[in-house]
Amino acid sequence: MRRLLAHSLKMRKVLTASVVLAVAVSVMALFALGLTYGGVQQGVRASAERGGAQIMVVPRDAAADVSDTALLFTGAPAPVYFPVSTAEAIGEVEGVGRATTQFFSQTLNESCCSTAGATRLIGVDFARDWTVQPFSGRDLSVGLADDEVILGADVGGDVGDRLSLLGRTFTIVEKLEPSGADLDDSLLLAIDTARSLSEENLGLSYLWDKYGAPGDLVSCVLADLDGTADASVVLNRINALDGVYAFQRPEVVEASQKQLETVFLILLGAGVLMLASTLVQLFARFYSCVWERKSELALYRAMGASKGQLRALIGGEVAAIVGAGLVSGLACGAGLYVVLMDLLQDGSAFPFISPDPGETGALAAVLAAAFALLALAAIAAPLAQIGRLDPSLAMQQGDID
Amino acid sequence: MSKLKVEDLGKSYDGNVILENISFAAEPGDSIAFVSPSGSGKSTLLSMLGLLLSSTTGTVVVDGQDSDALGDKELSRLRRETFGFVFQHTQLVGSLRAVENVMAPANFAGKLPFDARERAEQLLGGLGLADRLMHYPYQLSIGQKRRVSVARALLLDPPIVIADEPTNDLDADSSSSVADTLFERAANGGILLFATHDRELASRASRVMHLEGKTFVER
Repeated sequence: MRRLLAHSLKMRKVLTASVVLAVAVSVMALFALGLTYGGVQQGVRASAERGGAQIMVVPRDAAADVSDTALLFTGAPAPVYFPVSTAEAIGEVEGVGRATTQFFSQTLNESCCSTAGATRLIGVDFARDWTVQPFSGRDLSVGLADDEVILGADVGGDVGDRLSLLGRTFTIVEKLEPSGADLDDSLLLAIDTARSLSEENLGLSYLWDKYGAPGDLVSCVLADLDGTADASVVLNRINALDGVYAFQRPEVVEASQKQLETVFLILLGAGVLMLASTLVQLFARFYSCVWERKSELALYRAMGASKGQLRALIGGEVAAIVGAGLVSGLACGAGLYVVLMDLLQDGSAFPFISPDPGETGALAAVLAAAFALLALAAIAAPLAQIGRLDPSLAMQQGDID
Repeated sequence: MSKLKVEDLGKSYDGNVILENISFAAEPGDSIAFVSPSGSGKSTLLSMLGLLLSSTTGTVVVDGQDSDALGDKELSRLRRETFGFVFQHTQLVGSLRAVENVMAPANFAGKLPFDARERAEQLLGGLGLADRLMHYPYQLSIGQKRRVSVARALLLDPPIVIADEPTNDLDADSSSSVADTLFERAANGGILLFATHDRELASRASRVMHLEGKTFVER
């Protein structure tokens, strides 16, 4: 029967190819969209759940050039600073609970260090930090020694390896879990170590001429509200301080999620319409593939094929077609997903975490099951009708010479 | 060897009786010709005998098995293992070559004790189509198509062969070749049931049944 099945597919080359293509395109679009949506959702969720601070305070100079969303997800990726004294003042603002500081040292290039994938060097006040901790399995509050470094998830290197950075050698003591944000591309040092490295860098001396000694500077303050404090009142109080800009994290997260949902809603709407049209066409095509061959199938019944054998024959053809469409669609969908992610990451500040293999597999399995069910539904009715007809009656119609 | 028994067989469409009260038995070695004018129900009768069409009344008993009591698997097995059917309108699959059409029943027969292709080529060769093995039906004359249809019916060596106007459209030589092939089955212990309005062909049968009213009776 396999020979008959192969022959049938071969003899209907154009029909077979067009159905395979239709399945492949649908699967490709759904798989890529599903992975992209899942990845961005997961990134935003991780950022919202694990990002920690309710309030972020950055130099007013940085806020002028960068959106809240970018600031939220990428920190303050600019060499602008404000004094430690201002940071301490923020910590003492009424309504502020806990607060911690970070020091953006510099953007990194390939010549800076002996590892790949690092784009930023950040000093963290680990003793008071609670924002990085959720991405680590070790207790970071004990701080880092002068020669210890923590890697973001996408930076090359493993715990225990030695890393050369701006002329110094560090030991990698931790590699963080993915955050979906630029933390993944960062090297984290103790805040004082980052300051001293920056001070040693002659290329940055113009900054210290402008802002003062790096030991007295911070790039941002991350803060939580104290109990029932009114966020807007606290923000106003902080913004009244000289040279800083404060914004509330939940509002930005919510706004970002709304933006994201709107974009995907539009995409989803268009996708669903396209998909519905494709599914109807596929259903009709599978249905007619069987019904138009009823005289041929009735002839096989006359030769002694049981209903089960006919189901196996048609089911095998459909499985081959759907299988080929699924495999090629999933492969192309994965490729399209990579392209879409590159575009999204280049063009927006949305955090992104690739769906894990389990989720990717589950999506592929759902798609496979959906298309298999569609095909089964499309062939079940005509096969049952043909099975009920007497072979001699069914043979009187169709493509049998 | 198989036996066939037909009891009170009849067929109606929408209350319109086409055939009724047909009863007879066929033993190994029998060749039975059903003779009647065109359009009088011969094809309907042969379809019912070959278990390809359900009857309105009566039953067909094959080797003691009442076909009305059989499920799909058993009916399919009987069609496959017991019957070979030569259709009036040849019923070849247009996308299969001649040899592939002959081999088609083997697709549903499981493992065979012989090579299906070799057998198909032998049968087609015996019917004078050795040089038409790879032709598609549209490349064959009606007579050649009919011979392909005969070869297909014989592929699995069925004990009962049913042929509906098997020599229609054939020239004298071809007609004789097809008839010889079919009667050889009966001579070898099989049963041949065929419909014809060709009196010469009918005269070669061991028994002839004629249409009287809406039933066939042996004369």
